[in-house]
Amino acid sequence: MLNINEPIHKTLNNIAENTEMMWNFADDAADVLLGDLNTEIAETPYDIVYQQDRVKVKYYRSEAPVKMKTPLLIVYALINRETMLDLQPGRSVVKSFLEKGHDLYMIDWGYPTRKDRYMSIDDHVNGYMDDVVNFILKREGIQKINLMGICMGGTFCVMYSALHPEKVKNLVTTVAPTNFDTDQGLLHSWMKSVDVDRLMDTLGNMPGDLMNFGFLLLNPARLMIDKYQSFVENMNSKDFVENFVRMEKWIFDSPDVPGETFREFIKECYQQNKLITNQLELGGRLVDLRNLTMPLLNIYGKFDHLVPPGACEKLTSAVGSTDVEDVCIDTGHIGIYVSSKCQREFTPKISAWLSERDGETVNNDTKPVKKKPVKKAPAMDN
Amino acid sequence: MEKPRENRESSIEGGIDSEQIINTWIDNASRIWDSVEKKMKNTSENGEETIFKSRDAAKNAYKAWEPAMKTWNEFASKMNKKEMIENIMENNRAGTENFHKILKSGLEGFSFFQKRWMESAKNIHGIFKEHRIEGMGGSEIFDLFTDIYQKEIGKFLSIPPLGLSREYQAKLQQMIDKSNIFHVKLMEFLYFLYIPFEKSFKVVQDSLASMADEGALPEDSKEYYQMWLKQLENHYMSLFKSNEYRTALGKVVDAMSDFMAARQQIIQDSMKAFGIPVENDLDELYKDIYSLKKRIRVLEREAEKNS
Repeated sequence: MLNINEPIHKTLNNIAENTEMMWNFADDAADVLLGDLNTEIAETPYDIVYQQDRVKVKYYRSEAPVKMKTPLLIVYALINRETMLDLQPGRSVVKSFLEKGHDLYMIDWGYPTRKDRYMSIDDHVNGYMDDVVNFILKREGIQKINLMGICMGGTFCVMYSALHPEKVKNLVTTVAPTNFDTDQGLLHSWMKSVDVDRLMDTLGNMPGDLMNFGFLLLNPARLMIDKYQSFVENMNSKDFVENFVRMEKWIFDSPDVPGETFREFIKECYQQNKLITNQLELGGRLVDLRNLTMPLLNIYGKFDHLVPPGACEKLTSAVGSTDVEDVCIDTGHIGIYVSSKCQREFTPKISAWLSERDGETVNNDTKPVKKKPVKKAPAMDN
Repeated sequence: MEKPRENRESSIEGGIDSEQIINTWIDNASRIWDSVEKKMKNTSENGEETIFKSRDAAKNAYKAWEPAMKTWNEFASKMNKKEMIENIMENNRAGTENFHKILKSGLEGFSFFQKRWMESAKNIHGIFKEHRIEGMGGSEIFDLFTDIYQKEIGKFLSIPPLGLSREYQAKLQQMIDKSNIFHVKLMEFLYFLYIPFEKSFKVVQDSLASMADEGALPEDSKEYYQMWLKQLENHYMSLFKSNEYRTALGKVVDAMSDFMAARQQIIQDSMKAFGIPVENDLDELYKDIYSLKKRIRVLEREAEKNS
């Protein structure tokens, strides 16, 4: 005779154990969520040493002695905030650089309002960035600085370095899109379908919330469902909750992008790919990447869905510099900064690379530099 | 006042004697007005005091009413005549005939419009056939609705308004039109976002069915979740790379821009009525400030170079 009692007992036992586990979990989660949570971000102390309109320059105070002769200026993107580089203790790019002895400056682009809607890429690159660089050069009493750009900030740094090579000693670009003629990333194909003129004429500036929604749509399964499912599963862990909330704070802290800048970036970069083909003009001046003659370190993520490898890897062959290096890290767009594994690879690599070139006194105006033959970028159908 | 005739002959043989009814009414009304006139004249038949205490006030009041009473007397005397009553009857009959005429032309007009509506319905049917929708259809249903709206419904919003407020009416019409189009495009976009859910559930169901046949169903519930999530992610990736999605994205962004611009027009007009500066005013100021700052910057740099 079939004994059905045993499986029933087993099932009931499982349910009872799970219920008990569930109540314990809920209890722990309540303690964590209702308890004291440290979710502050960008805690490394700094001073605001320069301000123009909404743009500020942070100078980080270092307890470690400064070993590098040339200060480093970090230029973040206009999308999201530079606080990501100082998200949490133990995963702070800023702290890593300070510990390695860098004299560190960072541009804070602030929160654009409607009055900034007419600010173009030229205003940001040849306006704000140039003023900031001039300020630092004067403050430090030097001729050149090290420049590091992140994402759209990296694109701006490339433009700046091509227009003002005499002021840039070394250039580091990280996950910076420079070639937009690729179908690898969804943004590249989506932006070709958007009438950006109509959008910007209506909205003025590009709202941060709308951009956030667009980024979430890039992978809704992971970013809108799995992420929060994972949070629920780990709600009882204080460390997890704190790190998660810090990330949430940063990711949804999205300033608007000035309308004119957004319009130009989409039309002239995403749709017409003018930068890599040396057709982009800023303030009436041609941005010719062959004028970018300083050493270049170009870092990008292999699994970056926002700025895929195809958008980054052509830069080193398009510039005039012969001292160029591509580094592809096995990570995504922001993993390169927040993943502890990548942190161990990323900042030491940059620091070592800069350190090797810190003592050089290459003056691009007087010493001829051997140039690599420039590969013609493929024609783009507009 | 002339007393109305009494004992009049009935104007209609048999049935309701309308002439007698009218005469009775006139008689009673005349008696009422007679007594009012006497009260107001400050004398009564029996020499009693009237309602007015002051002789002058009564006289003045009577003077104001006198023309009306004279008119009434005239009217009452005329009404007593047979010809007048016959005229009234004739007018009633004519009124009824005219009413029938109006009703007839109204119905004819309605049938004219009904014909137009039937033609419109026929056109809509034609559009349906053109799109060849089978069953419930997919995203084609939204193109179909857009087509129907633009060809048969939206044209009413394009009727040019008239009058002093025509500009505001035109803006309101445009906003309604753009709102309708935006909502359709938004529905289409959301429909696309829903498709991967539908497909992933179906794929998982089929997988589970075959796993059940093989007796290889996972025990851990997380595995089911991961299975479904992977399918969902894959379907979203396929969707996002498709031309249909990109087209829908472009359309919804354009429709949203148009609707917001039209809505902003209405809001700005309302704000102007309250004397509140609107976005366009501020944008012009910002543009001026921006241009001035740029010029100052250029001048500063030149001054720096020269110094």
